Amino acid sequence: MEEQKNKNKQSLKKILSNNWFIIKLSFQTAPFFMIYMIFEAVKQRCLVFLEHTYGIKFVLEAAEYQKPFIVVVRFLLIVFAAWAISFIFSGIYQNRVSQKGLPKIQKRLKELMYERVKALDLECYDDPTYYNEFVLSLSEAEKSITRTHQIIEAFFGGVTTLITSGIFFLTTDSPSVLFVLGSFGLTFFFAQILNKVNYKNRIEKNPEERKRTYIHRVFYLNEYAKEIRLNPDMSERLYEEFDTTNDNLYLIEKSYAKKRTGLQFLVNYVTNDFISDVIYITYLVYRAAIMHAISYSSVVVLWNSSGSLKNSLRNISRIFPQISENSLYIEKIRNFLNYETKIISTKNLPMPNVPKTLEFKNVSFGYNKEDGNILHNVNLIIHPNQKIALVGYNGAGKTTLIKLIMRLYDPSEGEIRYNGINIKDYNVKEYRNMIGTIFQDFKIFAASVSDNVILDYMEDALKSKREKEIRHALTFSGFDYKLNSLPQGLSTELTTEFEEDGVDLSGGESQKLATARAFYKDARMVILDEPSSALDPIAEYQLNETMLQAAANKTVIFISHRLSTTRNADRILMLEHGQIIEEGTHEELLELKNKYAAMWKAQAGKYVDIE
Amino acid sequence: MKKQPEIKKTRALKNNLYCVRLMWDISRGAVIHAGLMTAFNYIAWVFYSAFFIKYLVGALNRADSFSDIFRYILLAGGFFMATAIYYAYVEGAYIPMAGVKVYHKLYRKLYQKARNVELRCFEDSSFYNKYTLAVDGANEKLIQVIINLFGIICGAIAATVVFTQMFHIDKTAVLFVFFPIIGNFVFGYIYNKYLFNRDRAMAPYKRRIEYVNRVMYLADYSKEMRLSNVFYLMKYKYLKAIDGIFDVVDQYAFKINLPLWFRNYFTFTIIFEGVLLYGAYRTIVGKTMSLSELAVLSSIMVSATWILIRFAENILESMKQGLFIENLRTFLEYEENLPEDYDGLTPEPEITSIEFRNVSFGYKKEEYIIKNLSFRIEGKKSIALVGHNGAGKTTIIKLLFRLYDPDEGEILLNDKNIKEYNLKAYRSLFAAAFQDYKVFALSIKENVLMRKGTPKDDTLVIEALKKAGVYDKVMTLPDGINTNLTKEFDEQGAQLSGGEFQKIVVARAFAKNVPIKVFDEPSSALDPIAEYDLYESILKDSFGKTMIFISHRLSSVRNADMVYMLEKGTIIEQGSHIELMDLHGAYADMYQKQAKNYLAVESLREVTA
Repeated sequence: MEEQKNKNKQSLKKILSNNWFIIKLSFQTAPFFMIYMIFEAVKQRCLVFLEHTYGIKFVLEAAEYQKPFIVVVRFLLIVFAAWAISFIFSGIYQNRVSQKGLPKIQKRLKELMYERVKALDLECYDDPTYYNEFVLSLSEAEKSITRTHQIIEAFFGGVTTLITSGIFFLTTDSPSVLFVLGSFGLTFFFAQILNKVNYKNRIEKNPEERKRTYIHRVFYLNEYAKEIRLNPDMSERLYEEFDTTNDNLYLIEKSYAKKRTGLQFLVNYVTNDFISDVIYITYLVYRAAIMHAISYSSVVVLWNSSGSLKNSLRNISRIFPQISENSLYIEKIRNFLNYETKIISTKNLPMPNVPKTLEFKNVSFGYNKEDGNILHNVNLIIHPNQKIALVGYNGAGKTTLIKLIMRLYDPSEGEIRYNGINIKDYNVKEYRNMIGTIFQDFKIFAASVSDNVILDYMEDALKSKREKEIRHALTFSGFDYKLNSLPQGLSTELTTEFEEDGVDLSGGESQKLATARAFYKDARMVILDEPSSALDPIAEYQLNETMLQAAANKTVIFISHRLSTTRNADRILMLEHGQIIEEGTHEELLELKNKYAAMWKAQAGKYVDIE
Repeated sequence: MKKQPEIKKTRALKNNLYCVRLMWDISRGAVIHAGLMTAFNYIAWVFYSAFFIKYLVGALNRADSFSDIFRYILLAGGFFMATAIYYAYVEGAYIPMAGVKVYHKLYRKLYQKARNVELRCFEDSSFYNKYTLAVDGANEKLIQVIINLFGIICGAIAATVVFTQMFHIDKTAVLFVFFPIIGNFVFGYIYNKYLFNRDRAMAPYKRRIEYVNRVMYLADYSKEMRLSNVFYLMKYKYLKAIDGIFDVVDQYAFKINLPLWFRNYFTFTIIFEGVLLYGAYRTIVGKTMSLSELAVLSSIMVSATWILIRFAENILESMKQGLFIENLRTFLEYEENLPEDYDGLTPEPEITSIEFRNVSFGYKKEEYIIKNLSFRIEGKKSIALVGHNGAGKTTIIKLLFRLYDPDEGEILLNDKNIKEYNLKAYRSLFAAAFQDYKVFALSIKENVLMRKGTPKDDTLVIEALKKAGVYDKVMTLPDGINTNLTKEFDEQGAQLSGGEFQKIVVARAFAKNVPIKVFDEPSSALDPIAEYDLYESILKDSFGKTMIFISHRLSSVRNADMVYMLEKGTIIEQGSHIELMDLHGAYADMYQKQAKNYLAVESLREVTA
């Protein structure tokens, strides 16, 4: 019902302006394609009319009134030729003009949207309603274009048929138009009712169908296969759910059976076939046999083409609901394009070249109002080249803290300063570029090894110039041994997404590759967000060693569960409930004999007491 | 070359029959109604375009009385009104209801099969792809296959009737029918082949476009997108893909249009204008054809053309469906190598030993993960498997659960090959917590029990949750242990953190009273304190039971009765923690490296220097 209501709420102006947005974009990007499209729609309907309606009448009447044969020949030769030329035009349209025009328009819209994606604030991803709209608008972008084009075609095609057939009906037997209009009007009326019934039916089925889809996923996805096998009772439990769901759906459908049967009969037969095959034909016969008002040929032709006139009316009548629906999607796309990035810099100050002090001043932050703040009044100074460790339980706010440092979010209260200046005043791109981050949930892209290190578009010539640096970064991160085993070295395509012979890396290898990104970037500050979770102990140990070696003149911030990783830090910050509760070197914190010491004991106790 | 498509065609025919049989088993009514509906459709079509027109123009010409004609119109109307009522019933009531039944029965069948095939099938990408293709929208596709099949049969009959009618009017006119046949089946075939090739040539570019799109909107990539310039790399890939599509379009533009032109011209124009020209000649010049015959001919010719087009479309569609049916059939007829309903002996609940004897195994051929592995575990002991990533630890567990059978060697439980046991009974000896856990959109209680629960189970579930250290959290939820997990279909469902979900999964192993418990990195998402507590619970719980666990963190391994150190699929060291430390081998090295960090041997500055 919600959707239905929204549809009604849109003002006509909004509907037109939204559709106009895509129409304008299409005409600006590919004017030739768009004009060709309209030309095709009009041309096709004209020729169909010429052949199916006018042509048959012409030939039949020529025979009825015994006109000379040459007249028929001349006429049909024109039709022959018209089609021959028309099909050439259609072919070029179908297989060339539209094949290039459509992607061009799609590309234009996608480019606009991608630019926005890049500038979108990360908080948009946290807000599920906004995120859903965003995903929907991206996935609907191409369909919106196609829909708009279909509407344009339907409109011009419908109008052409309406004009040609309409004139034909009016000139041949004007009262006939009433039958067509009557049939159309009644069908339209009952179809509206049927649509409403079907809509209600869909809404009613929705929750049950969602359940069915879920069960489907469980039996279908590899992830669940193991559990299903080891817990056979689970599938019985799900079957039970599946049976009830289907029984419920059956009952819903059953409750609609009578209403639907009746409406189907009205829509498909009474208002359509019955009017044309019983009432209208009786009228035509009466006109021809009793009143002698029309020729026999006209009876055949009028009866045969009443359908196409009615269809043209139906197609035109559908345009309004179509543009209203289309407008809903385009609205989402436009909203998205109009999104104003919150994380921007007004002053765009340049970044200093060497590491400087980073300072948190009374920083509080929450992702949204309902859940409250995650960080409470945090004060913190990180000196250049310091090695800082963030430790604490799950959910203490460690990851949130580094997201603020990276300026993926801005603090709700307080400020973060770099070199004494609020980080909001630095150029955002430059500021973020200063930081190299190795995420826990890093991603490997379906691109070459070097692209995956550079993470930017770079021309091949420049890439080979930088090869040394890329290799250096990979060696540092411990990826070199894997690199040597790759068939095409740095140009090896990763993932089997596109390339049959693409290489899928293991978890540990991927992590090493992701680590190389930070080395390559030569960042002044390196943040490691639990970088070692996919590594086994020895690999973790090696990574830590190289990390520290390479980061001598960098500021480093570690987050780790493994206290062994963090104990060598210059300063350890223990977080709890969004506050720094303990701070100092490992030894200092142990002496405190408080939370950190307890955590350390829990983890290290067993290793330590053996010696 | 020539024989190949023919074999395919007989196979396609058999596949279609297979579908009819399958559908017949699921719902006879659906098959019968689909057939009747298609038939009535064609009857109405042929009747009005051929017989009705013929009668009408004839009657008008003969100047029959108006009431006679009217009676005929009403008679025809009455008959088709009856079929229309039937049609409305089938479409409005029968199909929606039968649709649910077909879905229900068909998917029960598919799920049953899906859970009965061995796990390997899910990991074999070619099998899994076929399975996905077979299962996606199978209910609708299956119904379409049936409707399409009747379309072919009724289309063929309708075409014959219409041609006979044409033949009655004029023996020569029927020859025009060859044009749409050639158009559709010769040029149409060539055109479709080019179209198919073009689509195939475009597919890789389209996949790239989809990939870029995905990278753009998935939250997983959002951070990298903001902190690096990977956006420009993706944009570049997108533009390259569009260029690729344009190249393909250019490559095909000319050669694809030629057969298209001929198809259109032969199918529509030649028969249409040709018949009119011929008919007009016979009527006006030859005077051998009456006006009514000409009118009927023009009407029949239109429907003959469309019946043929529809017929060709149906055949084409049936070819396309062939792939779907082939996949469906392959899946349903697949013979399990290791069926889940495998029968055999019932194992003794008292475990005396588990033994791997010269076991080799690989997920892919020639790529062994486990090589000639032998070890023997006495019952009621706690066993730790340690080693680097990819050493084969998890694979050993999977083999032990008989999710796979070894390629070579044998696995014995109580000195009997595990293949001799009834699979279900055998597996019910185990309880397991995996690192790649999954929770179900059911209540917490059911997620712990992994079956339907009764109120009697409450204490069991609560105990298990307490042991896993997540009971306090569960009690904060509105419905306690009856709270549904995930928001999948309960708006009030609980969305827990990764660590909490993992604890619930570990509780599964606690809730099962079985002789063997297996923990595969059960603490990967937990913080140190929670991890420590969890291992305490596990050790306490497994007293008097056989327990196998895998852990990266060697400190948790120390209390195991026996430690197996694995490397590249073989055991390189085995013994108690103390014995292995005395060996000064790989285990001791690994342990010391981990311990060293906790022991403050070197400070950060020294390492950096």
